[in-house]
Amino acid sequence: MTDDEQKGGLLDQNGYPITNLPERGFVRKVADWASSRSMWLLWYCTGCGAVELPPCFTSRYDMERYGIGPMATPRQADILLITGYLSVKTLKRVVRSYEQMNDPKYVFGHGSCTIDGGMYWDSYATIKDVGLYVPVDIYIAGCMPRPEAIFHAFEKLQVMIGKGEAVGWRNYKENYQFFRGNQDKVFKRGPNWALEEPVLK
Amino acid sequence: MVEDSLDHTKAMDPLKGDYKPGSIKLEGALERIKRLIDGVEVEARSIKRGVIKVDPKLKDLVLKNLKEMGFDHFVLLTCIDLIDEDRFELVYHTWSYGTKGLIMVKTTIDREDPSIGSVVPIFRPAITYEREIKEMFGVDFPGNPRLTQFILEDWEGPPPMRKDFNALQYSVERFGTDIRYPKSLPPHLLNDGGDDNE
Repeated sequence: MTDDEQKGGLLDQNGYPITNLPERGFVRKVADWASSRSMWLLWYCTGCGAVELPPCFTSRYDMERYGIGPMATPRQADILLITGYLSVKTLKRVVRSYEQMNDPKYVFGHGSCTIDGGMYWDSYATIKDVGLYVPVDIYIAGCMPRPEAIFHAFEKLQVMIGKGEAVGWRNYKENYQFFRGNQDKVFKRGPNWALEEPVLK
Repeated sequence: MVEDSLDHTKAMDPLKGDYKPGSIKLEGALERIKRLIDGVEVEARSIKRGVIKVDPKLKDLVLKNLKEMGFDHFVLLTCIDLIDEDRFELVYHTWSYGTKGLIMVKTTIDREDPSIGSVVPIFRPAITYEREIKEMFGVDFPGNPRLTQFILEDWEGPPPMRKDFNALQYSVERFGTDIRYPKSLPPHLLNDGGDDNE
């Protein structure tokens, strides 16, 4: 990443772009509180971490206690849970699904593979750091994380939304050049890629 | 030995009657190949497993004869990078339902500009195996009708299954692992000759 690619954006201590927290009015705060208790989780499985999702959905841990339910399509989902390692081919599909989701949208990096590659640290086909390609709101460490850890992340996300801190989706739009530049380094967008460059309204 | 093995077929045959009129026991098949074709090395490793080492030019003839003798299930095609000998070894696995035996036909080709004729006219399932080996090892198969891009999407590097391909170095260059963890990668691993790919 050079200075030219990063025009005026804020960076954190590791060199990742961050965004300012927006001012919220009273209505926005109420709406955030309400939406944090009614979320759809995109049923999308990228790696072995998907085996932890059925216990979350079903009666043992019962995700619906938190107002979170599974959703089949990205256009109706709020949360993208990246469950495990991402190969280059899968990353392409993840980015495409992520761009189809409506705002506000939140990304979980689930498992150590999403943080630094995990056991695929020297693989030629697996990306190492999801945060370079899509903005991740919460990482869940572990190989694999148990459903309790996933619920801990859900609770934390609800708190973050209530405080207005879960702004990964704004970050993606404000610092699109950073994420797009990293994406272009590892895969090519086809001619039928549906979405144009996102605009922050 | 050939005649001796012929009457054994019916007892081993899971289907009604003869599965294939010409199917014979594994040792008999190896013996027949040795008699028919000059310059092949045969070895029976057990009653169910045999190896035929053959020149690349004669491998079509060997495979055709094996198919006629009942070894008509093309199990798989593998490639081995013999980097010390500067050769690629290709192994064609054929299975006979009549004798329940596996025969491996092994042949080696040069590692520089590797190319070997396709066996698709004999065994059609070889299309996909040859596609994979073309992508993973860079071996060309003239005669294969479908040598297109297979698994690796948007790939720009060298064939990744070759032993001189350094996966760690490639992943650092391509995925930028050192952006976040510049000191976490031990430098001696980066200069390693790719031994950890095995």
